[in-house]
Amino acid sequence: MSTTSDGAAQRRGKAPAGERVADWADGRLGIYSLAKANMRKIFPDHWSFMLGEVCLYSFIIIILTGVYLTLFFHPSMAEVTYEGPYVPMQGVRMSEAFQSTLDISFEVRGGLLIRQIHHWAALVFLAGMFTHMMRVFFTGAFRKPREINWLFGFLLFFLGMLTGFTGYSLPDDLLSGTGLRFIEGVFLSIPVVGTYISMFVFGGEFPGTDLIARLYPVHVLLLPGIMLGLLVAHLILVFYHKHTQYPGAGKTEKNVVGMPLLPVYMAKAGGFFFLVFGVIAALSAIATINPIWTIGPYRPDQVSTGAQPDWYMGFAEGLVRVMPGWEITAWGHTLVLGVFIPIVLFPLVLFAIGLYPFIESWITGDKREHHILDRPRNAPTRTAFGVAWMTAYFVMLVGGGNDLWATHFHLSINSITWFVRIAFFVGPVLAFIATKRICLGLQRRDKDKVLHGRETGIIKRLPHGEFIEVHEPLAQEQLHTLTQHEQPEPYEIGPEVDENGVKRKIKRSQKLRSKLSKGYYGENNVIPKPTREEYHEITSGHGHH
Amino acid sequence: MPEGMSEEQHDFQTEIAKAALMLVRLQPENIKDKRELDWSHEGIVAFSKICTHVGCPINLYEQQTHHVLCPCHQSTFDLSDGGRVIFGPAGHALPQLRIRANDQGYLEAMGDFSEPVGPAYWERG
Repeated sequence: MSTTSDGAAQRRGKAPAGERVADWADGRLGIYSLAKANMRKIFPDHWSFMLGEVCLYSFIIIILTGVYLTLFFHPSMAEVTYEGPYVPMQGVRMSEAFQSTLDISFEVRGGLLIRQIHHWAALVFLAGMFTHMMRVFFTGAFRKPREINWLFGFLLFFLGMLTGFTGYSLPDDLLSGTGLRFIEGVFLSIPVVGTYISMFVFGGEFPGTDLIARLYPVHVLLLPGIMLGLLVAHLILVFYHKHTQYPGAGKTEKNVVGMPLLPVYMAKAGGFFFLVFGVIAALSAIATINPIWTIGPYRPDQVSTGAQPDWYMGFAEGLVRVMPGWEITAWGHTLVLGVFIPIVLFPLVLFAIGLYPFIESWITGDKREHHILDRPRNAPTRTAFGVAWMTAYFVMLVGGGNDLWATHFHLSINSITWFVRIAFFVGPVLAFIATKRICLGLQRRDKDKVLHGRETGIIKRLPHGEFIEVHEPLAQEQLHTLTQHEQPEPYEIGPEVDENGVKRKIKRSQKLRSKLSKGYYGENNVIPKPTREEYHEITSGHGHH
Repeated sequence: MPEGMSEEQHDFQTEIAKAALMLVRLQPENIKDKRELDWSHEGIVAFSKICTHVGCPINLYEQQTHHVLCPCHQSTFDLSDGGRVIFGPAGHALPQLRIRANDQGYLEAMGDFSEPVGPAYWERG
């Protein structure tokens, strides 16, 4: 007895070094309770949950490479004559910003690769955010309690676009300078205060000598600072709300089914970070992006053909390109609608999707928490709206690249432009109708599968000669997945007169809400899911096939 | 380049952003606009190179049609018809510069543009 307790005391006295360090840290940081609470935190697993991770990792890559670039970049518009090693540019006048970007590309060790990783990662970051946002949209993950987090994510996407734009403007090359000239035109089109804003931003007339130095702190400090804050808040909320999960057997609104944070999820996420880094690095090593040495320094009287912004500005570019050149001149003033309308539409269209969660919750009146995701088909109107929105977005991407479509496919630029003008309005309507029909069709198929089972592809010949296909009943788990969704009743205003026959006051917003609600849950917008009775009736009967 | 202007001067970029010019030789009988003809010299016309949409330098000239296309947003102007917009998002014609040949046979401008070049703005009127 005594020997064992002596041994235990000895073991306590000589704790391993790791444990002592951990004890030390716990005494100061309280890591034990933190770890206890979070190490076993459960994360559900699905491939689509990795889209958000792609964003996180590419953001980290952007920050790491961006810091390296700041060590060598000179944000100055002072004019110099190039005398560096790149022969074709020798003797050419350029700004210090452009020269230092050439130096980063040709003289700084690893500079070109880092520059390319920085740029490619930005493209991936924005593409990741777009797809992540669409995943969240189509699965209804933005519903309570996650509306605020959806907004944070949306703001990250929006600010990501601005940060990207300010970033690719910094080298002061011919292409980015052209983009900035466009920004001047945008400012000028703003009624009343446009010229003042332009003069203020550029520090006088375009291009002036201040702009690059001003964009620099916005690009490396202000915007990324805000984005970092939003990103941290986004992740904290993901942790706090717990992750959503797809419907399935054993999954409820009150549990989370998946793998623990440590070790499984951390190992996966850590590995995935290196995968993302690896793919972006490989891309950057193989594919040239923004070769400013062939584009040359900015001069306001020069331009090249095929001028394109980075992809995420393509939507804005499209709006600007296909808008008719309306200009109204009256009382000594000019209203530049041809530029102003697209520039107002640009944020409006984006914010239509950004504010959607609030619109949907108003229409449905649903104030409950949702942790089980929707299958997109089970929310046909939302899915159709999302596809319509994406259609408008992609039509405008075509508009933004109308010159490239023309040269690559040997089409007339005028017909492409007209196509985009019409498709911007017609396309979303067609997409809405088609998507809704497809969703309802899928709902019907689900219903059919639940009631009649899966088609096995086995053809059986009955004794009297009839051929039938053998259907196999679904497993219980599959039945659950196909029938777990709710089908709420549409919002009703109620009788128009009260019990005394007096006409009730009905607000116009109530009428609108009721109408929209029918559009979501009304008769032709939902295929009633099979009931327990229907299922039993069919499956208990003899000779079902 | 305007007289006395050089790449070395500190406001060169700002000046060239307004002063950039296109010189095109047309057959005088192809010029449809009367004022354009008056302001030309033997079919040589001078138009502002700065697009009236958002200020890109226009540089895709099609000799057969006399159309000039801005590579940024594809506004198309007819240089044989007073720089009129025939397609795209630009809102008004390209300003023309009145030119003549001087005693020594050099082309020279007879003054500045008669209207602001580049994109439209609130005070333009």
